[in-house]
Amino acid sequence: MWTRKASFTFAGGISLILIGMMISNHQMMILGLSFVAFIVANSWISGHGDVEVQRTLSADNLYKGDDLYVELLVTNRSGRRTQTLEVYDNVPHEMKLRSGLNQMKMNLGPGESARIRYVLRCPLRGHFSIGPVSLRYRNTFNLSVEEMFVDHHSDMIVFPQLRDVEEAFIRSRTPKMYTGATTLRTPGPGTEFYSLREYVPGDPFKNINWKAFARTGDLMINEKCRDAVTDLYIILDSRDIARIGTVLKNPLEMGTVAAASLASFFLQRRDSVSLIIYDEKLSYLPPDTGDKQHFKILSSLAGVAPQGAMPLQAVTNSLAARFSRGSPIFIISSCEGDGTVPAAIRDLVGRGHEVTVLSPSSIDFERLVSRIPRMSYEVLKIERQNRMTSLAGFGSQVIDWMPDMDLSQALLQVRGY
Amino acid sequence: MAGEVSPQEEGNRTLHLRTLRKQWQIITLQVIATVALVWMYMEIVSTYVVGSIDHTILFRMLEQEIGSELPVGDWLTGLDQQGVASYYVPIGVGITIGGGMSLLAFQPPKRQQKIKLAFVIGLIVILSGRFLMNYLWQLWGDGWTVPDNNALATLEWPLLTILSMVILMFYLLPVIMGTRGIWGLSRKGVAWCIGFVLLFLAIHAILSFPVVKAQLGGYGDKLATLDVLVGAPTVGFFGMNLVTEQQFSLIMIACLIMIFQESAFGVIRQLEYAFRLPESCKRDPEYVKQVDNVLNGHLRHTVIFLTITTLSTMVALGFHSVLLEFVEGVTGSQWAAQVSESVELTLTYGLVISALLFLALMAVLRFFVPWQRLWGLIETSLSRS
Amino acid sequence: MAVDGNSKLKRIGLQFAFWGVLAVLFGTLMINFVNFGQPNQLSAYDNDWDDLSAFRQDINDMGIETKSLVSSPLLLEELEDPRNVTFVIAGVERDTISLPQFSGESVVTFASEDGYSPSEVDAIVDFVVKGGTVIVFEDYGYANTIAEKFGVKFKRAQLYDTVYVHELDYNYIWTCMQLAPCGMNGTVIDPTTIESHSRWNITDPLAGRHICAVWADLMALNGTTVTEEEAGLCAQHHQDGLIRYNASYQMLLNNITSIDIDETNKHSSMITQGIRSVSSSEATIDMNGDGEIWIGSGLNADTPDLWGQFNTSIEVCVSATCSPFESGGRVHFVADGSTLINAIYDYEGFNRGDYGPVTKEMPANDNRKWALDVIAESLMAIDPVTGMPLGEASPTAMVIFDESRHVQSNVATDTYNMLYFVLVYFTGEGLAKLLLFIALFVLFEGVLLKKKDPDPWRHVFSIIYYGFGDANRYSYYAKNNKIKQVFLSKVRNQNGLTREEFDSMPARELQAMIADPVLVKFVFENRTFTLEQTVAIVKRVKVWGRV
Repeated sequence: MWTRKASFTFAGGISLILIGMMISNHQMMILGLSFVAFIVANSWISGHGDVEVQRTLSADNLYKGDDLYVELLVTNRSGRRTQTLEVYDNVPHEMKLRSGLNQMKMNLGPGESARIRYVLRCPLRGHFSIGPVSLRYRNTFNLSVEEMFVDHHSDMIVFPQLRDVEEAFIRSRTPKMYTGATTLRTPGPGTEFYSLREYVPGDPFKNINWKAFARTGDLMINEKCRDAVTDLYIILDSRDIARIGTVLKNPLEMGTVAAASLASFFLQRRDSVSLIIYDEKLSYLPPDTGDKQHFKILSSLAGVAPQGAMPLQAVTNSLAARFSRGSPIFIISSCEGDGTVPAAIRDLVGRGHEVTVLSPSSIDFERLVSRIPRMSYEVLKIERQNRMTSLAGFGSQVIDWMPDMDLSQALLQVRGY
Repeated sequence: MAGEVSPQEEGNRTLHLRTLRKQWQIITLQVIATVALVWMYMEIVSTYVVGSIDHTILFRMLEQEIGSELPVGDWLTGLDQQGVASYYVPIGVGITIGGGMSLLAFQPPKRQQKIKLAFVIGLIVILSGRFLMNYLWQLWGDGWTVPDNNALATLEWPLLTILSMVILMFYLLPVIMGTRGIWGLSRKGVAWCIGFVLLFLAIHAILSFPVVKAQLGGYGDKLATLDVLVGAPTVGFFGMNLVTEQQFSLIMIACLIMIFQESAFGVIRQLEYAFRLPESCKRDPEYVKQVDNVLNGHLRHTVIFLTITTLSTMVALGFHSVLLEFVEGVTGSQWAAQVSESVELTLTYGLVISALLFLALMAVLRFFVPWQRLWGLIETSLSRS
Repeated sequence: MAVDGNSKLKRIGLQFAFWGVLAVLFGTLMINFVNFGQPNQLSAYDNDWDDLSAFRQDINDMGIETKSLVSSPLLLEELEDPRNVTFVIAGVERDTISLPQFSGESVVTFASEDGYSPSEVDAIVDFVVKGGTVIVFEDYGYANTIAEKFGVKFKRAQLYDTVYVHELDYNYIWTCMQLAPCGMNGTVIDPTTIESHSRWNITDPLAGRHICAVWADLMALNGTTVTEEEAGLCAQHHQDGLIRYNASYQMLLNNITSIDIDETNKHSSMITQGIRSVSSSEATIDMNGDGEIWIGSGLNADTPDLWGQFNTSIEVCVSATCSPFESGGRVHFVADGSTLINAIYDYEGFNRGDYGPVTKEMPANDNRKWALDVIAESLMAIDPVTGMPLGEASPTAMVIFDESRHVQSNVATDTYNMLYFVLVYFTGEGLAKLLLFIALFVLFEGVLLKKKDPDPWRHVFSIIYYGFGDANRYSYYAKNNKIKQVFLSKVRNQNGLTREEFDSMPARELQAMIADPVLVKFVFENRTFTLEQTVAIVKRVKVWGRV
């Protein structure tokens, strides 16, 4: 494609030729001819974008606020020079370039390579993709430009940040805090020794007690005590109303941090954690333990976006029956714009669940972005307090979470019934 | 794909402007631009100015008017020389002034201000220093009187000197602005230089148009004009005579304008790219290596493609005789006979049409000659060995 | 592998569409000026019976260079030595582009049925004024724009005369280059009616005598003899070693018209017209072209045709005498476009069958002699010292045949000529130059506006986020009823009552529960409060119930 300079040069050349003929001036005609000749001579050279691209990331998954190191290796696999080639690695606009540059101007000979290295910071959680790689061949004299791209993407997930909540649970005044796995005196999967028994085909080799074998000559298996783990349910409000506030400070962001931190804490203690996210639809991740469950929860939380207006009671009505009897439930919601919250909580409490409502104060988040008249703000606050009080009155533990409060600090402020 | 990623390295060479400016490719391009500028100026001057509207005529007229020699030495203004030689020293002066302006542009702002202030004060002192002293002495001796002839006479030398320098600078404007643009890395300077040159050529073309020239009377006769009809070619290469001498100098003017422009702008463009890189990239050996590659490519292309442009313009202008022979050789056709004898082919119309035809053929030929692949094969085998 | 995507296909499609539309537009323009199916004739570069190749060959044999003009007579301005150039226009068969013109009287005028544009006509006039010679052979074409500038006009209607070739038909008219018409003696020309050329036979050499006659006189004076080769441009008069100039010309014309003197649009009063040949006084002109002659005392619908004596050839000169020894050129107008066609010019070759099968033989005529004498007068070299003719052609002598207004043998040739014409026209014609300037300006503007370079790449960190609440509800929460409702909810919650219990509570009990006189008044009295009062109430509500 001709650039503006080439178009002007060509048009100027033709014009000079014509005007030169009009006024019989040889200099103008020759000047015009030389311009045209220049364009024609340059048309003989062209670059290409036949390059191989290999991108390496320092991590596929990282936490919000972490740095990501990226290296892009560009190799000319053609038999001729690329000529002046601008290479640009498309980075999502939500990521900040910390150091280096995601582009380079290069001229690669046959088989030659170049490396582009840069560091990104991801201030937002989510699923992101780096790529494609844009290529632009530009003529030496800026007479032609050709745009191409290499369809090469690198995906990654940015998880919400994890906060340390252990101290909050240790220091909490509330009784019946969760202490993780408790041992039952029945054989089953666990860690504590229960008894020795004979080996039956199918038993894992790692459980064979070799000392006993040496002693008796028979294969014996170490049987363990079954660990009783608690099923913890985290219900996260991801309705559209949860977006109120700034990009980094809004009920949903706070909620995802809380959900991730809680899930991480309890999974570390080998409890089963389930995640329920309700927005315009209901997403239910059944309770499970281990790193896999941890990854699933973090991945779900990374992709959460505020949308929809599903009432809480619809969630509890559809899922309450699946909840393990007496299992604790964390509801992370601003409780704003949903008249069914008290009934839902009453219902859950009535079923014998330990309900804790972690409620980011949406009014205070709204105050960060909108100018609320003082009197209206006070009345809204009072109304919110009434709501919190009524929820507490149904038997749940209510945490009124202010924007500037840390999660562990908020958890310490649990209000008992 | 996740893996081990090392951070950006730091090499010995960097792309900071103070280092990059001294790189051989940059210096070479700047030298090419300067040579093209001076050569182009000399061609224009020898074709259009010398003996017609050159500065020596103006200076002589001035000397005649004032009845004495100008205070500026003849060696400086070129009055002691004839023809094109009268421009050698002034061109040197122009390059020096342009170079000085470039050097000034790279100084810190405070120093620039001081130098400019010193220059202005110096100018004022030269202009009015002696006069003031004389007048003050007169006032001291004679009291409140108007300045006498002695005092006024002291103004003559500085005024004439400044006038001579102004006239000389006016003639040397393209050289001064061009040098400033090349060595001071100023796009504006290069653009002004090209603008002046094209403006001069355009004004000359208009003034030498017969209708306009007739209106100028005696002044029009002094204007150097170009022949209208094509003459016998005497300049060419490989034994082929393609263009006349006059056409050759016109071709050189056109091509040298382009060489100057492309070299100067190329330098500025590449340095600007390097300047805009972040600090870590300026130290990264990868970036340094690729900037080297790009500069080498730029230099190669500047030399090769501008040479091809010059040669192809020459061939294009000489192509009409080839076309004539070809058409004459085609027999048995009324049209062929008509065209072979057409007046158009002998006038500039035929010349231009055949030139454009040649360039069109040249443009189409690239689809049949895979030169880039061949060159790539050569480059690959050279790099392997 | 780099992928160009749809953008490349789109670009190719756009280019194809652009060039296609341009070709259609160009073709539409070309159709107006490229003739399809028309016979090509009167060309000096074709050797059919109706072309002028024999004339051109004779000129070349005389050592004079011949050229063709395929684009436009505007190029005549580029000639260095017009004095030694003869421009031959044989049939103006095609109109030209009729652009509006700037004129002295009105601002813009529109010309129609031009043949040649005003600038081209001016170029021809300038050529003649500078000493060039023009020969115009025309009958029903578009030559009047030139003719009018020289004070003459073609009638463009067929002339019939009693002096015609009986062996052929009434279309073949005899005309003699003399002031009095020649007559018939039965079926042949009466030789007693044949006289001499009105100018070329003048005795005074400086008053317009033919240059061959002057040269012959000179040689006779010096007693010089010449061979036929040495006779040069006067070889057609060579006889027994001498130049015996014969000033009588019996011309054979075919399908002729007549030429009138009309000084309405004459270029300059310096121009003089001289009638060189006339028809008989019994000639008629079919004015309405119906093939019938209806004549009367006046011209009306019943008698639309003319009868009488008409001019068939006029010579127009810039100088008073038309002498070749004076500055200024001349134009020969002949009322027949086919005067010099091979069939008539080279009648011997035609009768031999050189130009195709012959059904009727062409009679002998003096067309060739006359044409060569015109060439000799205009192109003979004159000694700059003595001022005497030298017999041979001038070193820079040239004859240019105007091929730009002829129908060409095929479309490609027409297209080629049209391209040249467009180029010369738009760089030579007044208004066309202006149009070209405007077109170039528009082109530049188009490039400036439309052609954008791709933006340089730059990573921009931006997070666009909209997290605003419903601001409309703020005013609602400042209303007294809402504040009241919120306060009562607080009272109910604080005391652990259900809604039903609270609704059924007596007012006195509620008042006691509230225990704040201001708040009691606020709840129970239905009155409006000022802003300050409302603020105070809200403050009390906020602290109410705190221990």
